Amino acid sequence: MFYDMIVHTKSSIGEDEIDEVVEMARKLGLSGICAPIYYTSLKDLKEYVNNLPHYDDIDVVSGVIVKADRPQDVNNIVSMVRQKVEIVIVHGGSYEVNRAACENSKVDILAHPELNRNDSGLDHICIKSAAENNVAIEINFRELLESSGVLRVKTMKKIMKNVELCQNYKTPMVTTSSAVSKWGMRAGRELASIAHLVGLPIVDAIDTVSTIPLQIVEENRKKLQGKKIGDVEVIDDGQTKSTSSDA
Amino acid sequence: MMDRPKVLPPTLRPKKRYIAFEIISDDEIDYKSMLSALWHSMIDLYGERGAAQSHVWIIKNLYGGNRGLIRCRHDMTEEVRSALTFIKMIGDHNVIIKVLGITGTIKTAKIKYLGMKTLKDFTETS
Repeated sequence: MFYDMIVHTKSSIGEDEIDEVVEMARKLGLSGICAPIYYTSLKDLKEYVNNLPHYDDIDVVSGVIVKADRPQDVNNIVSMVRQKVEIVIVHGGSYEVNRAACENSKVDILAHPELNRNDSGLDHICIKSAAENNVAIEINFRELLESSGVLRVKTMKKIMKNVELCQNYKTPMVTTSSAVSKWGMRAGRELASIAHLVGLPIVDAIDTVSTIPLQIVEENRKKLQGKKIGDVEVIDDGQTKSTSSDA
Repeated sequence: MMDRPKVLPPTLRPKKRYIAFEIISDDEIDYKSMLSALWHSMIDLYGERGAAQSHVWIIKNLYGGNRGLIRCRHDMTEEVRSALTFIKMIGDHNVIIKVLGITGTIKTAKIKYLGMKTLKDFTETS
C-alpha cells in the first residue's frame, strides 16, 4: 500500500489531466494519490470535490493546498475548508506560516517548509508542536529532482536538518513526489529510498509513504462521515447492537 | 604462466545483489545510454568514491525491451535505488525507472522478473 500525497494535475499547477496521472500511478503500483488544488474560494472547492473521479483500483483523495502570507489567514482558511476536504495541506515557506501550521491541529501536512529560504524553516518549537498536533512534515522530491549541483546540495541540507529534528521529537513525516507532470512521479518504494537518503532509517522511510498517509486519510474520512469527533470514535451506533443481541 | 590473477576463493569474493528494473518510457532506450545515465546519476549523487565503491554494472546480454539487471555490492542496493530514482531524462526521452525487485542470483531474477521459463512451467498440473 503506497500513497503519493501530492500529485499536481491541471486543476492546480500540473500539466496532465487526472486520467493520465492515475494511469501512471497504476503502472507504478501506487494504491492511492492525492490530487490537491490551491484554495481560491469555497465555491471552487465544492466544485472540485464533486467532480473528483472515482476509480476501482486507485484511491483518489481530495485535498486542498492553503497558500497564505499571514498566519491569521492560514488559520481562517483552514477552519473554513476542514469540513469540506479529506486532506488539508499548508504551503510552507515563511517561518510564521510554518509555525502557525504546526500549531494548528486541523492541518494534516505542512509542505516544503524550507522553500526559498536559507535555513530549514523549522525550529525545535515548531517540530514539537507539530508532533503534539499530529501535523506531518513533507519531504518534497520535486525540489531535489529538478535542482542540480550546489542548489541540490543546499536543498538536501535543509531537508536533512528537518528530518533530524523530526526524529528527535517523533514528528510524523510524509514523502511526496509533488510532481507537476506524470513523468515526475515515482513508485512508492523509490520515494521511500529518497527519505532514506535524507537520513531516515529504512523502516521509518517506508512508513512515510505507506502507514502515515493511510492513517491520515482514514482518520479524516471517519471524521467527515461523523464517526469520529475529536479523539472519540463511534464504534457502535446502537442499531447493530440490537441485531447482534437478537442473533 | 597466465597473465592474470587467480580467481579468488568464495569467502573473499565480494557479495553481490541483482536489481531488476523496468524503464517506463514512450520509446525503447538502448543499453549504452541507460548505462551512462546510471553512471552520471551515481557520480552526481555519491561522488566518484561512492560510485566506485558500489561496483555497479548493467548486465549487457540480459538487457532488452526496457528491462534489465543491475549488479551491485550487497550493501549498496538502497544507494543504487535512489540513484535510479533521480534519472528523469535519457537522451530526449522522459523516463521513470521502476525497480521490480532485488535478488541474490541471476537465475532467480530471470525467472521472477525477466520472464524466463523453466521446465516446471511446462509440466502438466492436473
